[in-house]
Amino acid sequence: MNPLLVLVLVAATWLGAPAALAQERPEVIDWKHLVPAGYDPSELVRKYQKEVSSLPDNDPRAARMAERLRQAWENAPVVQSLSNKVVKLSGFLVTLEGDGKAVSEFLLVPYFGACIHVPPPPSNQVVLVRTGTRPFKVNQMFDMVSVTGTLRTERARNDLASASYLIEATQVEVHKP
Amino acid sequence: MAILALAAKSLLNRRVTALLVILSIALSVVLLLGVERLRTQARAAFANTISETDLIVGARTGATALLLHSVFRIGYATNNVSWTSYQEIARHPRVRWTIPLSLGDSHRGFAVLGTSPDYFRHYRYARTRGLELETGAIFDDVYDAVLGADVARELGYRAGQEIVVAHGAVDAGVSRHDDKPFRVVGILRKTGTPVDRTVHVTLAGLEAIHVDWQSGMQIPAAAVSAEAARRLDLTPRSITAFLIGLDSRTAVFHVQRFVNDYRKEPLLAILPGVVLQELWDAIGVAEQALLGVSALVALVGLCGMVTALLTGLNERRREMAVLRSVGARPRHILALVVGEATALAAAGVLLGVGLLYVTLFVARGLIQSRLGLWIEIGFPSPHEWLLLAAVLLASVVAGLWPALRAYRYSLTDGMTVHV
Repeated sequence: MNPLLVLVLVAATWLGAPAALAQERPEVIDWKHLVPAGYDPSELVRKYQKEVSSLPDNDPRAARMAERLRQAWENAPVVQSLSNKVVKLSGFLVTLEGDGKAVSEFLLVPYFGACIHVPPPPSNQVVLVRTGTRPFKVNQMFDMVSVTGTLRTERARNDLASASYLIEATQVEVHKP
Repeated sequence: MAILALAAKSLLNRRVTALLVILSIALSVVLLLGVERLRTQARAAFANTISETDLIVGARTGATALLLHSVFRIGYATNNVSWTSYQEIARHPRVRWTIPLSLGDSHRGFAVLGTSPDYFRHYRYARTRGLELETGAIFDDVYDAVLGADVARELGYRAGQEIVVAHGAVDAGVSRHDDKPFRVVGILRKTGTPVDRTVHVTLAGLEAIHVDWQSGMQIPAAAVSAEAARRLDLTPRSITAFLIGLDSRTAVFHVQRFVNDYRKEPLLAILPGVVLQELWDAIGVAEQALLGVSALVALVGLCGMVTALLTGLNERRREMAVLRSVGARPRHILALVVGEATALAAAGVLLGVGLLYVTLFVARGLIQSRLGLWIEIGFPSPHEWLLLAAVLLASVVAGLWPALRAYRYSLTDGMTVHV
């Protein structure tokens, strides 16, 4: 082999190494990081409460307002700056798609039983995880897992106001606290 | 080579015992692998039946009952969902598509499903696969029917044929909707899911055949002809359940909450993936127990082999002595017995795998007719290879004991046997 070519190849490997390292070291994030700084849902509630209290009883506008409040709660904003970052996030697994042994698509939620108890978590506290070609073997319902992968924000198909998080997972492991 | 021929001849001389040993190992292998195979295949078949559906909504009942009834046609619905509730939930801003499902009637043992064209557009199975037509088109007219692949194959139906739907889940020939037959317009490609065993008709068609039914029976005096029924309002009053696809999968908890809190009617929304997982967790214990029992059966099979070898040794002391006299060393005797055990186990494993595939071929028809699930028959999985290797290894280890006995005998007996 041409020695010059070997040199170039070795150099390329060296130069490529730091980038690869950066890829492998994910930023460990918490559920708090998924909420934009300064976002306070209780402020939202206060705002609506003030308006509602000025209305007479049984005013249909009150019901409409309650509906708007619910939507605002459901369409909680996402942190755009996290998009395309490689992150590691831990939470509970809610199976969406699987083959009975392993799951290939699931929701990651911050607390146990998020799909049963009232009220459901706001949309920025639910992360859709796709495991791609390497499905994760589940031991039992609501396994606590740590997911590593690229975080993206995704717009809903027919409601442009709401966005949600998605992780294309490269690694899913049982969480060890 | 000569010693191998001798060993084979010796084994042939004891062929009844040898065959029984092989058979018992084979049967235990069938059980061990069969339990494992059915377990994984049944799970895969169940999991592959419904994909990309975010929620299933039905009248309030058990989550598992709703899933089994609406998707797998196992069990029955306790109540219906009113058409107005369905319409209202379908209008929820996050809902992208819905598939109404109306069950309860049957055609010669196959379920009749009333639905909308959206069923063929949005239903997904095996992760991302959609329904495809083998021949014909999807239903358009009130009295059109689209058949699943197995319905058409087993009953020999072709497009253009007329079929009569029976009232209720069992067609006993007494309460039939024979005044309003359906015409087969399309046949679906095989999916390996309960869709194959379903007759799909329009919701309006189901409504039409029940138009002149009151209080659970057809009123002859009020009979409405098939043509006259077309002119009536055929909007269904209720459906059994419906599937929901959302614009974003993360919105699923909110819409689930919306349905479960729905004031006008007690409804239940479930996430199919979660309920299937619950089902696996519930039957996981039984599966483990079954696997444990089959492992014990394998152990019993091996014990049988060791017993046969040990009792055989006494009879074979003279044989061993003769072998020694023609120059066999004690270690040859040892190798002979271990080799025999391994050969017996290997033959047992081979026969067992063969029997397993025969059993699977027979059982899959039965499983499909009972559950509508198609069992794939493929090569053994890595886990199954491991189980087979474990049986073989265990037999070699088990064979060591009689082999050591034989070795000691041949040392002490030498060429003359003092029995």
